[in-house]
Amino acid sequence: MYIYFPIAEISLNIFIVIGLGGFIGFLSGLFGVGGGFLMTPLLIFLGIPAPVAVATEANQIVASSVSGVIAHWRRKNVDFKMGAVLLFGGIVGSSLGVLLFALLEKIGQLDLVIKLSYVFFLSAIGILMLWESVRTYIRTRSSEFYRRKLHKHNWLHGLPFKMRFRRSKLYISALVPFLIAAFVGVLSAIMGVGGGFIMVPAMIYLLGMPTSVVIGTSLFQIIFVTANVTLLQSVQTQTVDFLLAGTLLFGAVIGAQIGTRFGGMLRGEQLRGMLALIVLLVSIKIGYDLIVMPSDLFSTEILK
Amino acid sequence: MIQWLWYTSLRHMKRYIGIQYPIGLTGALILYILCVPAIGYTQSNALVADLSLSNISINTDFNGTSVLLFGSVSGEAGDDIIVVISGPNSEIITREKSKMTGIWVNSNSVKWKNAPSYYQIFTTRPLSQIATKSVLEELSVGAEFLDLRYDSEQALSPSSYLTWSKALHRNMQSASLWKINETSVQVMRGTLFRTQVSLPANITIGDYDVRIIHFRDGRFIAEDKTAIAVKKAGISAFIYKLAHEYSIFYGLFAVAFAVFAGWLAAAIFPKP
Repeated sequence: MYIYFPIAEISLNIFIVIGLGGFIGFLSGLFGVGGGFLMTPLLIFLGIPAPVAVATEANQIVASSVSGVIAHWRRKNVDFKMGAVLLFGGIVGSSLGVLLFALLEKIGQLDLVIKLSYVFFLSAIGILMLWESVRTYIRTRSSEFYRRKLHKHNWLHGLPFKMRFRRSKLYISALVPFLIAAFVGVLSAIMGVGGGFIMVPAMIYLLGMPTSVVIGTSLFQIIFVTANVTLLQSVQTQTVDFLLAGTLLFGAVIGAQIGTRFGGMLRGEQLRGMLALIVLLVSIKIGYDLIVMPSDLFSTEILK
Repeated sequence: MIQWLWYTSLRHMKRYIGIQYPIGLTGALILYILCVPAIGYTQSNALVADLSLSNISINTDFNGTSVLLFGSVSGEAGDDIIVVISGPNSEIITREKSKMTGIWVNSNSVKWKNAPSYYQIFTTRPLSQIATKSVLEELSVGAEFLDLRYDSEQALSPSSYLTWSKALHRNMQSASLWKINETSVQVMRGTLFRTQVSLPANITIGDYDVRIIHFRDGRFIAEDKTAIAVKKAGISAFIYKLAHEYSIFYGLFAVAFAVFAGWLAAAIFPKP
């Protein structure tokens, strides 16, 4: 059964779209990640124009973050004050990102920038995660145990505009989370991701936030950043296909339920290792397509 | 069937005369009566064609479609029919990739100002056997005879123009948008002809001009015209219109929908 997506202007088998949503939903339930950084490249592989894939995925992430944040909210695992600073930075960054997106589309380099960002960030994150999970695996084997300090103090703690974040047990400059969130916001707009895969490590290692509040707070701010991207892309480039977002979401909701149940059966470092391999595979595929000589050096696109 | 076709053909002929000579109903009637003795002659040149569907709606279940083009011609055995369908002229951009620091990057581009987004030819025999290149050029049958205007950073030399227009042809052909369907028109008993026109799922909305040309021994005999209108319809049209004309509301709606769907998902499946 085929369905014509009016904004993507492409006809796709509905079961493939729901299946893709389900597959990514399964992975996000299994690994506890948003999945945008896998969904957007796969949508592009399916033949959906890159601008539509990016903007539509932002719309879908709004929904998955809302459903994710509710559980963390109930357990009081959201630092709303930190979330507010982050979402302020995220909105500034993602607004700049949407402007940059339109500019790149105009000069015909949008596809390239999207793909290069994916290759760079996916391979960096993939290698880091793989390294981390291998290390943890070795450490648990040798059953060595040591206690980490709450967080290390470095030059980032010397910046002005200090603010107290009670829930995160932090007294740091508001500039640091603001700038991190702004940077991730730009990436979020260009790559069609929530940015959790960068935000979460940044919150743990750069800000020194306790792990328990990191995911809830990150999801909380992702809602606003992706909502901002959805709204701005709708107005500026008209590339949000909400029929596509809805169809993907339908599959993702079911997939996430199955994934969450499977996730309980596997160990943390095994999960991270598997996710790292998937992430690396996707980045190798995108990178390979950029390096290998295209069969036709010329490409043609019908503009509106 | 045949009687019906003849009936429609006469109806079309009258309409054709009525449009060409705006001399009023009485005038047309007088002319028609005067023409009756000569009808034998007129009929030898009569060519009429119609489509099984002239309004195509792109709704959410659209996955390309196929339209039957049929008609009648008072010809002889061995006559040829060429059908040229040309879709809405669009801005089309062709980009060239070149290698920069190890990766393939779009470097040069040419923007075509008036290229058809769909250009297909349907013929009874291979084009080269129907008429010479110069005859086809005069009738502008063939994508190579399109008068393409372009926008580029600098004026193209004739040889680079050729490279670029060839690239356009090649890319449009591989997207199945430009195509020559040789021997796809069937002629029955020398008078009735038909061909199946396929419109792929990625067609552009707008009006498609359909030209039907009758050839005999490499010479032009007659031509008829009709049109296909392709429109978005139903939910598909509604979403498209909302997204383009009321984009703020569309964006707000998309966000509200996502928030609701996310909340609903959390409510149905509470986290363990």
